[in-house]
Amino acid sequence: MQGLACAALQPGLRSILVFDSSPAMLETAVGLWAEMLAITTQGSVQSVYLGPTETEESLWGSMSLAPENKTQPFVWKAGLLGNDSAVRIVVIPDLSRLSLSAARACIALMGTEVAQLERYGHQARWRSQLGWIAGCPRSQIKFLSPHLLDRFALRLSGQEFQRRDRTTALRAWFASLETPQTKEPTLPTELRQQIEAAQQQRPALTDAACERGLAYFSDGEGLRRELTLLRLAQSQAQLDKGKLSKVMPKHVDLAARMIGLKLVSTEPEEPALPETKTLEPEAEAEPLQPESLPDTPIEDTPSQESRSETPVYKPDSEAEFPSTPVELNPVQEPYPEDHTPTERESASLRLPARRFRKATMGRGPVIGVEPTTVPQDIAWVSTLLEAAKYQAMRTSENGAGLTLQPTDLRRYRRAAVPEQLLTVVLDYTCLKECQWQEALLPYLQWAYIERASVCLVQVGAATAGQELQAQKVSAQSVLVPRVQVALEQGAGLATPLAHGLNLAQHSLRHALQHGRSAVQQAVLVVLSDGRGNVPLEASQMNRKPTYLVNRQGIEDALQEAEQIRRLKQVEAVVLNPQPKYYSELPIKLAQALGAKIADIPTLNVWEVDR
Amino acid sequence: MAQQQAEQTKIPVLPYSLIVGQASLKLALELAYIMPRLGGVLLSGHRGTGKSTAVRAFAQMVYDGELPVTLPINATEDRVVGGWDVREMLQKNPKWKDGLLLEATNKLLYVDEINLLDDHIVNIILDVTATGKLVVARDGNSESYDVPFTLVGTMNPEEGGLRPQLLDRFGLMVNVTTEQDATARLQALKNVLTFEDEWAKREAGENSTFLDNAEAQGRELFDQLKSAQEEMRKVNADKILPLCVALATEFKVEGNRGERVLAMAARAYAAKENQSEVTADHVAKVAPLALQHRRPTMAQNNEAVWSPDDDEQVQQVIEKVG
Repeated sequence: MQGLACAALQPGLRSILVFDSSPAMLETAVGLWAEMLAITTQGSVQSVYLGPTETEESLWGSMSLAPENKTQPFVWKAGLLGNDSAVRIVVIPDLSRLSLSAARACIALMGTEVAQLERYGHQARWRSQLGWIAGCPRSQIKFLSPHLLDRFALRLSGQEFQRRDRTTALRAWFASLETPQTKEPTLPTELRQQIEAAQQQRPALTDAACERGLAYFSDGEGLRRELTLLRLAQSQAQLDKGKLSKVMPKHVDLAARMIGLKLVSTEPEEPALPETKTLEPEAEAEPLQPESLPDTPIEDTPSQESRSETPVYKPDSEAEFPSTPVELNPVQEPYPEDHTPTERESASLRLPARRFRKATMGRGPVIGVEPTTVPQDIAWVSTLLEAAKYQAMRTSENGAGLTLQPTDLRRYRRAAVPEQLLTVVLDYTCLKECQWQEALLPYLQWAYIERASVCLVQVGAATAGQELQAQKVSAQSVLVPRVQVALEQGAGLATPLAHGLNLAQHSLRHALQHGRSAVQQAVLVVLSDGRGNVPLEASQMNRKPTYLVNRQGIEDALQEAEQIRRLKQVEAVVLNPQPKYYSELPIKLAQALGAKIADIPTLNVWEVDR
Repeated sequence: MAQQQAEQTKIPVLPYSLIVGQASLKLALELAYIMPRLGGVLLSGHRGTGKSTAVRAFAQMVYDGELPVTLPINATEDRVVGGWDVREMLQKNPKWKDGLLLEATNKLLYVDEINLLDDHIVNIILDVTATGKLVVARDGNSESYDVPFTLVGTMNPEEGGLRPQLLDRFGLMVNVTTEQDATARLQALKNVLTFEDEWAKREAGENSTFLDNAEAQGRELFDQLKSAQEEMRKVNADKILPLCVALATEFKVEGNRGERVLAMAARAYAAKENQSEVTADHVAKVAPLALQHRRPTMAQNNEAVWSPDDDEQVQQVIEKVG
């Protein structure tokens, strides 16, 4: 709650990323923040939601029908992000699932002094006053552009919310169901007054506070984070009941603690002064003074009785939904993107190139429309609306109907989806004595050129989580770093080839036959000497066989290969490492797969056994 | 226009004189103003390095409080090259509305996040900057205009680079990095936060000496730049022309645009320094800005790199050419 209050006071903090928040919690936070912003901006605050389906037109505006307007049936309709200086909260329930168009809009609008619209004859320039709040699971950070993440100044976490007294919350929720209307979350009166009072003062930053702010960051990657910390400290001081008219280092320390920052330098943190203890995230649950801002999680209060002694937390109505104010608690790592391995596609914020093999089939999700000269994948509504603009000029006085011209044609602009799939079954236990990288390279190049998605099945890799099982690494593109990392693993001890082929078979079946999959062509490359030594059943049960397996692993692999052979649209190749022993096995595997076979040059010249 | 300008004054943009450090960035923008024929500036740098703020602040200083003509990433073709005014068309009143390229004539055209721009729009800009002419042949309209403007682009190389053809259209390129000096960083923080406070005061109807002083310093700097622009043609650059060619050759710059830009930039720099003749030192100062993005290695990297070794190489060429 304190983070929200600070963000309401400081325009520079009005872009919040909440890690691991549930949709309900984010919703509650949005309601509370809207109330706070309404106080600080002295106006009403609307919320708009952005998700995976937003297009450029829905965000920035487009021509629209206006049936109620008899003289002008077509009008320009502003997009979700508006083109005025109204205060709005833009809510992104899941940043990792945001559409490309919306992500680009975030880049264009967040943290900028001036916003600009230049679309389809419309021009606008305005001072954007949008507040942004987005939820995102920490596990998904690796898939997001750091450029986009950097736009979110304030980082909070909703994890602690999970530790609340859930039974009480459930009871309160059930109680709220019985009331005829669900009320919006409301701010406690004391907090409202505190924000109103804080608005009246603007504590000056001291040099010592600025120096303290720099001490929390080691090197220079811009100054945005430092500015965020100091703005947070300044708003903390504002909320600090005006006991000090300046921002002191202790406010910086409090702000840092709130977002989970730790000092880089060896300078010790200053102890919090008594008058600021109510700002302490860790403050114990002694009854809060009415004039202080609460930030202690409600779950710290041991009993219902003790909670009733803390009027700040007490809702106006017992049946209100939710029954307790949401708490956005401190995070340990406010900038996880600094330490998370990158798994996003390179240049992920760029508009996709049109690479559909069959142009008649628009496959990717729609992210906007664009002019076209070919009648394929036409966006009919946009085309008609484009034509509508010119109807007054094209039709005569008595003319009827709508005149379409080729320049009106609009087609969908779609996000890129891979239409090719490269599946590689790589047996790490046979790579030691052959030049496998050179043999695999042409297939990886093909995947790059075709923008194919990649599925790498690791058989017998040293890093396998389960020795008896193969494992799968999937990626949207061959450029995703984890593909490279996976290819460079060493060899393990077991060779669960049958399981690897089984995984490959399921992946191919899923890619080619599942729902609205866009995959038109799949290439399967198997690089193995065929000497599987783990029966499929053992892999599936993940249990070491207690019997002598003999050729069971090999036979199971051949059976799986037979099943892959039945799949259409799969072009299979076996890369033969030319093993010294059982040299016929790769050939048998290729026959079972119905695959071409290519020999990989060996690094050794085998002695001929006599 | 008056209304738009009034609106712009309400947009808080940090005054140019309050930008701390960033010497290369400032130098490039100032040279592009003194010598518009340089062909613009590309500012490439990681997030939060203040690229956009610097461009807006600079434009506001030199264009009488106006923000630069901005080409946003949401721009459609009709707004870039021009098209029929839709609102007027619906009223049976066909009226042509000029695009941003024409609007930017003799001004600064700012493209934020230029590497995220639609490829088609990039191609249009490429054509216009290459020829200096905008040919509009669409929607039954066919016109040709001379459109001299200073193109300023910003980009974050994390999101991909630019094609070599477009890179070459930018006269100067700056690899913007964060100020590392602790004192400068501290001052930058203080300036930004004080500016926010003072802006709030001014919006509340109070006077701000801090902002008044910053704006006065800006006007002073602008007068210097204007004077340098007027005096630039009197600066003699004959002696350094062989050096420019030698440097372009040494750094394997393709074509002859590199040496031309280098000579022009050195001349503009000499004018800025109030000198009547361009010296080798002037050339050395602007060499990174003019050459780093034209080297063959740039094709393989999203980021231009200029190292102390390169400076050493420049000095060696200077000594060699004499």
